[in-house]
Amino acid sequence: MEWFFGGVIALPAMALLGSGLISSNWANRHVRILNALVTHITLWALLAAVIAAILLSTTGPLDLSLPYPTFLPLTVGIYFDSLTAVMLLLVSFIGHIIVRYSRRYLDGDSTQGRFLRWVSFTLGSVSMLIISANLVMFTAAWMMTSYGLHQLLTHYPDRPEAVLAARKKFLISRLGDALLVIALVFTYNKFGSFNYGEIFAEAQGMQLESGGGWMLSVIGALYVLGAITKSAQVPFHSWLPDTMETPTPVSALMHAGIINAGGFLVIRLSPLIAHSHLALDVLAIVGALTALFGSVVMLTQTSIKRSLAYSTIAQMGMMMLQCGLGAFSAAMLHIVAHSLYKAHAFLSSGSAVEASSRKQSQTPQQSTGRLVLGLLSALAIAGVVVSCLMFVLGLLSDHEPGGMILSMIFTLSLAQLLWNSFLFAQPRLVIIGLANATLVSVGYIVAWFAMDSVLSHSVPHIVIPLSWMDQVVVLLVAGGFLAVFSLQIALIRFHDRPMIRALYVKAANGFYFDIAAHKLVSRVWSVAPIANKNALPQGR
Amino acid sequence: MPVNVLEESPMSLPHFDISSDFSTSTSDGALLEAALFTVQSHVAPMWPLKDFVAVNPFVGFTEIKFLEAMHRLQRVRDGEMLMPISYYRRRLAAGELSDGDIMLALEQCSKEYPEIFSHYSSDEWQKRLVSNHYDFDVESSERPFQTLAEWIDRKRGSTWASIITNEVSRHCAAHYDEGQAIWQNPWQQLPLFSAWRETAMIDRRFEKLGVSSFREFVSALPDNPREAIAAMLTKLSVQQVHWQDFLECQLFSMNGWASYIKYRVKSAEMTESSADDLIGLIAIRLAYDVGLHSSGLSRDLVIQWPSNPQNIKAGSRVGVSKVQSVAVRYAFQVAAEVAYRRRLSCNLLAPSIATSSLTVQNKVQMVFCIDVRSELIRRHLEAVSGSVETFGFAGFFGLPMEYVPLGALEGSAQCPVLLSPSFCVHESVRTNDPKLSSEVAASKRTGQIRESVWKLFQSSAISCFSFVESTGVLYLADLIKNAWGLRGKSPSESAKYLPMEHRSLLGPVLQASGDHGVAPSRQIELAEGILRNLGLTDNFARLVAFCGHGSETVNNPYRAGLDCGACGGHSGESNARYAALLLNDGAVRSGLRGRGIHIPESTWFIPAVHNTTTDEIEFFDIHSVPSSHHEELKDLKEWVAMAGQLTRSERASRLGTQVSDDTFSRSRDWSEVRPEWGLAGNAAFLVAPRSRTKGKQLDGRTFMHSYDFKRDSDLKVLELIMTAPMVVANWINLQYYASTVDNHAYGSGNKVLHNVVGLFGIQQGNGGDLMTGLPWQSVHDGHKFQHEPLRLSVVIEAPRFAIQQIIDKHQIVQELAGNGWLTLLALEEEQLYVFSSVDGWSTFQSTNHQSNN
Repeated sequence: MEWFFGGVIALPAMALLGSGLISSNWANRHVRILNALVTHITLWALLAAVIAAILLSTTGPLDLSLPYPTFLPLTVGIYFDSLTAVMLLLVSFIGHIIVRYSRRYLDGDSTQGRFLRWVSFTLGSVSMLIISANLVMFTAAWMMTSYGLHQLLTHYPDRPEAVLAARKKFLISRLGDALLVIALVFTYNKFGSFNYGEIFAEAQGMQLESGGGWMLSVIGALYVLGAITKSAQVPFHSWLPDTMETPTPVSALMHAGIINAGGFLVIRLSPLIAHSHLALDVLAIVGALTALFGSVVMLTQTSIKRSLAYSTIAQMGMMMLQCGLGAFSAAMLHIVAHSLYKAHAFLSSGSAVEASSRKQSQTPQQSTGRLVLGLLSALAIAGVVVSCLMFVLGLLSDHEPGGMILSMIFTLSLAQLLWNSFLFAQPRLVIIGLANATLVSVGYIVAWFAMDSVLSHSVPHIVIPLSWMDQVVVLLVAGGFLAVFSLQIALIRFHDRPMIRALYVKAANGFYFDIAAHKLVSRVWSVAPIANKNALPQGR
Repeated sequence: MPVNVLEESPMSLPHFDISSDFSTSTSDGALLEAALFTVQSHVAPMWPLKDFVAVNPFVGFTEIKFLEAMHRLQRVRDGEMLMPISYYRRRLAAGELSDGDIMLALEQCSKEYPEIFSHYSSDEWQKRLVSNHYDFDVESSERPFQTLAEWIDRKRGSTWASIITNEVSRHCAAHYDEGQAIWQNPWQQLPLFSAWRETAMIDRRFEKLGVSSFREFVSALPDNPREAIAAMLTKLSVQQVHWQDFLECQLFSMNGWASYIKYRVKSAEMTESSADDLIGLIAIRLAYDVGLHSSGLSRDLVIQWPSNPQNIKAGSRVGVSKVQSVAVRYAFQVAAEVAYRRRLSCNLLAPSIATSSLTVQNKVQMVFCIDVRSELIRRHLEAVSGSVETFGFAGFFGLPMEYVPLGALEGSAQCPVLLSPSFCVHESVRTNDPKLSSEVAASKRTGQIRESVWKLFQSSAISCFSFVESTGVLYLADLIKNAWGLRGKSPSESAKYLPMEHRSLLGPVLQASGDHGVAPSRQIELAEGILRNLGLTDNFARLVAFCGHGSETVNNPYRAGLDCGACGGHSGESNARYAALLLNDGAVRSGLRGRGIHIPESTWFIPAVHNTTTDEIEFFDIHSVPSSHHEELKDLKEWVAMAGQLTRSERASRLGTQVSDDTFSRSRDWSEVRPEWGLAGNAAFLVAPRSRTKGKQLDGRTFMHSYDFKRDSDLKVLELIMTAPMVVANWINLQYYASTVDNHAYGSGNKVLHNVVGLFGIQQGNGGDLMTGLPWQSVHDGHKFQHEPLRLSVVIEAPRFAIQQIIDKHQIVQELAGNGWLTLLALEEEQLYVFSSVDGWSTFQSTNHQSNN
């Protein structure tokens, strides 16, 4: 039974990797075959993920390693628990959707075969990354994913911007690889194993004894830093908005699949990382910074895809912040929900014009007094609703500062929603606003509870004693979110103030992060100018 | 390759020599003003995506001849106007161009361009065309006018040109953004140049990239773009004679934005303060060049810069080989057009199968748009039923109206972009129950507000996080629906937010109320105009259908490009419905009687829309059709269903599928980049009665306008056709032409890299200039071009003298026909005559030995 279970999980990943090894030339000449092949494999992979999830619920988690080679600490194996199941379902689903989409979307492109080949390879690598039973396998898959993505980012190699962005990504990924490899060495040194199962068991014991020790802190921090490079956290984010030189489905794959690898790493290793105050604080600070940075820059972007890219950066920051606050299942919910949302957003980005209707009646102008009154009542209602929910659900606890921050963010969001409906000063819209707020709250609670119960055995539920550092971090993060919320409210009245204007110019430029990265990359690995900028796929 | 070296004779192409214009003027200010005026007039406008219509990219050059325009343009920008030689060679090898075609083509060429073609005898040229022994690679000559950034890049391998393009693009996008960004550029209200100055005085990007003290330089510039340009020209010491070319080169390096701004400046909504935005764009682009120049980055290079005053030779001469290469390709291009006309003329002059429409009283008459896509369905509809007579007419049915959907503040201009709407019709709730009416309006408004509030929740800085967590999972359903094609027909813009039973209540109304609607006397005028221009003033059938058209595609930013161009890039539904309302109205009909048009009591007008993606025809306002006409309507519905099926089958092979029903899935597939071929393949405009073309296979390549010379004694109708629909057809034709011959310069590139910017335009990839024209996927299927680039052949069934009268009267017609932007042919007594500006009308010769294919 175990081997059957393992086969169901491993075979689709192997098939994907296998068809990723087909030569590009052959693939381009036999697009029909490749189309059928990859479409079918991804469909089977999706079905297999469903079956695996059902098997999991009946037989329990799987930790399976090939019995050989025995003389090395390296083995090939599968670790399949509820976290793996959720992630594999997500990636297989998105993968199949993307392959279906690419069939017509890239029709007539002379290198469609090559494209499908590398999509398949990349999906196979991500699947391997998810199901791997040990850190070495994980790291190998991590590098393979990066390689496959690099091939997809340079789908139009005669576009200089495409090549430059791909190289930017390539260099950042190698930095991530280096951090991961160092972490591997330390991990083996400390635990004498690369296998998740053994490491988690050991870490559990350590915490009981001595609270972890500094070594655990360092290891955790290294993994966290590696994850940060992978998941487009500030200051390693600037490659992401520059990857629009690749066909839209690749953007969807990247923003809904690959970018999650960093978050997945943190959640996968959460039994280990949760013992490291250092790692968690780094995560919280970097995550919050990224979330706020991304969402402010997103407000100023004028094209649909760039605005989606900065939105991804922000959402990944939020996810990392949740990890940093110890809310690992909330982070996982964020990964799943964001992936589905963002895949849809990218694939339907051509609808931006349809979706924007002709000029409609404007929001009525309100006096400042009424604006403030509306805002305060919205905040009050949202505050009461959220506190009641927390009280009823028993989530209100002094021991969970993370929960306080997350509920504060949710309160601000609800207030935003309510306030916008209040602005019209129509009873009908106020009622609709309240109804929307209720639906959103219910949706949030249901989704969170569902994810939390699914993941109950995969993520730690430990109450970490608060250090003074943690308290400072919590205060900083809360202050940051409040500041950005106030900024957006203030824009309505004060967008003409010189300071706000100056801030606008900086935000619209992404605070110039890209220039430094650009210069660095050009120095290390310059792109020769390419005469033919005409990236039209030539006919076969 | 044996290259035949020509003697160094003055073989430069004729071109606009501006120096003479300038020597007479005195003051610098007037000179600059004149240069700026000309430069602006050379830019073709581009409409925003929601109103996307075809534009002739060479519209600013129609006053000069085709090859002159090409030469003129290539001095200041990159861009081809002819296909590569290999394309023509392939067609020659495939036997599509006969020797006779080439002979006729050369004859035409030497008439049009004696200065080029008189250099060899016709036999010598023929040799050069039929054998590739004379082909050679043309040395890539430096463009005489280049931006400084382009020059530095060429010499240093740097990327300044694209950096500057991205900079200017970023500023323009933020300035004109229509709502993509939540936090809008705070200087949107200022004119473009002032807004840019305000931003650039803060923005450190260009300095960080290496151009030191750029902000200082910007703040020293005058706030007025003209003054700034004058100052910068002085700084670069550009000689006055070169001002125009130099500034044009600057502007064309941002051609996409220039085109969009040209549209903005032209459109009425523009405020006074922004009328100079195009000049502002020149000033902005120039500022980056001057910034580079004064940063001292490349002082040594500036000296060799071709646009440097010392380096420009007075009359720039084009290399001999280049001229010859152009000549050969042009001759081939003409030959391809001759070959098409040869086949077309055989088809047109063949006896028509049409039975005389006078003997049989038709049951139904149906008016279609002149669009090339109507040809197929008209042919099939007439084949299905002998009692349907079809007409071709501009799809806005002569109603230049603005149609405002319920709950919107502004509407769409439902007329060709050459016109502007002369009246406004509001979509209304058509009911006698005022309570129901206000209820529908209120639910529409609530729906709109609800959506905008939700969008803000989704995209605000903090609430976006909670949005994702609480509702992100629901997108699972949307992904499944779209990926497996389970998505139903999405409601039209006006039906959104309304329950099913209320949707059918919406539509235009005739009664004037408040500031909109049309006065009764004007209604009669409009109705008379429709019928007279259509040539339908008697022999009315019992049922007359006005059939507009629209496309049905999803996730396609270029959707409007597939809609009705005569309706300003929108569906023709509102025009068809309004036309039918007018002509069914009792008061209008009695008014028409006073003007000599008797519409029988038994005639009913019904609106319809031809869905060009699926070839279904939907009828509107059916509930008001009198029961006496239900029989005819039922028959008609059956016939159009059958005709649609036949049309889909005919189109299927071109769409690369055997399944004709594939068109339905294409219309709803979010990943489809080629939902239909639109107007690809268009080549001719036929102005003739339907009896001339009835039953003939024209392959959906012809615009067709019904016209009966016998009914047009004062030539009013002919004049209208030649100055409006013909020009629109010419615009469409040259847009397809240009997007095919050089998609990089005149098309909008690869759809899979498209990114919608500011909700109105398209960028490719990470940024760059705004894209104009058609995407590559609209003209190419991955194996071959689906559009054959041919300049429009206009065939008018009317005597030569009549056509000549219109030519003489209208400069635009003179220019288009005389300068080779289209070819005008007269069909008079079963003989074709072709117009030339050199020697007037001559008998159309068709090479007979091949006329059978």
